[in-house]
Amino acid sequence: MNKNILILDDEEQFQSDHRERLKSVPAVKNFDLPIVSVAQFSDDVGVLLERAKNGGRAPNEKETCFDSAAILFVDYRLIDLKLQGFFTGELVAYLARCFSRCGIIVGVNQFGDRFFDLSLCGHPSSFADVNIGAVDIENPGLWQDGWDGFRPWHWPLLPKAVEALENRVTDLTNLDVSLFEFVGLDDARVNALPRNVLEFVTRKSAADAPGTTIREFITDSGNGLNRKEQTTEAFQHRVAAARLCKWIERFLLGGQSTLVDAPHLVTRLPSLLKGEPTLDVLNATARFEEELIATHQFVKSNWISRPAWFWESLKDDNNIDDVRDPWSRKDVPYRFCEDTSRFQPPDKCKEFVADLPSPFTRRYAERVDGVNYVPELRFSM
Amino acid sequence: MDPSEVLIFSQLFLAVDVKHRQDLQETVGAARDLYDRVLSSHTHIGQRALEALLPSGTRAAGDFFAIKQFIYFKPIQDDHEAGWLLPVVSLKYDFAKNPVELRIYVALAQMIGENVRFHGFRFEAPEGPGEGDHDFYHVQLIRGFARNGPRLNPPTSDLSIVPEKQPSFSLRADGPVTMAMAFFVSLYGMRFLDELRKVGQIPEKFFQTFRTP
Repeated sequence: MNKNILILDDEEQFQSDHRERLKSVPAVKNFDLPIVSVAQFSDDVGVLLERAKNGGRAPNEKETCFDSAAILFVDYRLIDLKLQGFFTGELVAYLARCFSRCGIIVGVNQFGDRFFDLSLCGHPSSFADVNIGAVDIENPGLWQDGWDGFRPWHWPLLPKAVEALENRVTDLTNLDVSLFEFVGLDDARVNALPRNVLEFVTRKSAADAPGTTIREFITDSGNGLNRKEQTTEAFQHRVAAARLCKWIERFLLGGQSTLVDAPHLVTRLPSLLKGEPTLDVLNATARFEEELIATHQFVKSNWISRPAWFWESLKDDNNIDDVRDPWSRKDVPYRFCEDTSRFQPPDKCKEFVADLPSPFTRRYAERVDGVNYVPELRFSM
Repeated sequence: MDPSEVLIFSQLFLAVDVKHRQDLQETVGAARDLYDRVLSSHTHIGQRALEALLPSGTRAAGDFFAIKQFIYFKPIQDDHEAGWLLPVVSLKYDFAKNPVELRIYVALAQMIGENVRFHGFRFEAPEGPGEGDHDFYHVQLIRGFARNGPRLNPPTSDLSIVPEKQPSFSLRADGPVTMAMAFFVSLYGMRFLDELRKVGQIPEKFFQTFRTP
């Protein structure tokens, strides 16, 4: 498995500053931090472009820095890169995802320096697996369990994400199978999906959409390969492993309606908690290993960054006290904060309305100083 | 049954659903607390699923309770004692039957202290040709969304044994569309007819039923 963390920008100071700071993050010690010059970055992007023009294999094929990257941080603004046309980090993310063996891609500064997206949409069209501001490259919450301060809940833990991506590539033995069947969505669940959730993976009609294969998703939907481009079978597997995971994370889990994760689940069904709903007990659910209930769990653990459960079947399970006796349910006296990934008393939280294809749009944030919350009008008055 | 009236019935529900779904997303405060609380036990049906389940040219019969998904309409503010009431709705219909079977079930969710309780009603089309106790458009109380199904309220609650047969209140309606309109007027008052007019898909003749002589 690749061990390199790359930080790429059109000026080398940015890279060296963050390389130095990353060395102080304990979880980074298992990785290497090679220096990649702007010239090499530029040359290697050139190779990816050649691969893109030639179905995934360049005429003068050579190993690029992207092929050995476990984690790639790429800055959005690349205006000084000496390449033809206007290059952005998003374009590099696309090329690295579709035409290299690159691991997890982190887009840097595309949406602001230190921002929290109150829509909670999570930029699904971006080919970066996660988008952050540069100041958060060294944020411990991006690297390891246990954090303090700003740490958006949808962030994965990068070391785990690297391993999970490679496991997903191995999982994908055949791309010509039903995407929904592979993910574990039966017809009833597919039919309940909102239009924009389906549209991300297929351009077919409602009647034909359930038959969409994983390969059709990455070649025809517009959210995998550009429709006029082709790539090798091996790269297609990597595109599928990354893009399908993003669909699951942002669309199936983000709305907390098809899938629901532990902190959101226990606020709806507090009887699943192991103990009284104290802050400590609640915050123990906001981790990446929580095991609340075995049944209804989304079993493809490599395809999601945290444990999650199918809400529709779980909410009708009479083995759960709050389902059997919904009238006696007591509200949890704390709110889960999406920007700090922890519970807080209501008076420390600000309510906002996320823009999600789900009824569960009422969420909370702690409002950390120095963070730009956008769009701010999503905060309740 | 005139097929075009069945389609107008569906269009009416869809139009109100679109508007109220948006309103619910923007709702805050106690009304939102109630919505979030009820969501834990009653799935808010998605727009695509609703379109697929409402009656159409190819779908003469349906029962929303079979899939345990519900339509939500915007909450109603009562006085300071009663607080907010949130309509949670299920439909059952069979337009191939004679007489047509059409039932709109509504459970009005309400916070009583720290507990959610429901006030259940069913709006129904005539059940026979004219001699029976319920052979007219009417409204009755209900204990659950389905006969012999789960109760809306806990067994210990007085609301769990409301009378389901009588009374049967007469409704100002003469077909599926006016029955649906009467349902909305019952929830939101006569002014709601103006909101329905804005939808633009309901022919004026259906509004005549509600004109006071």
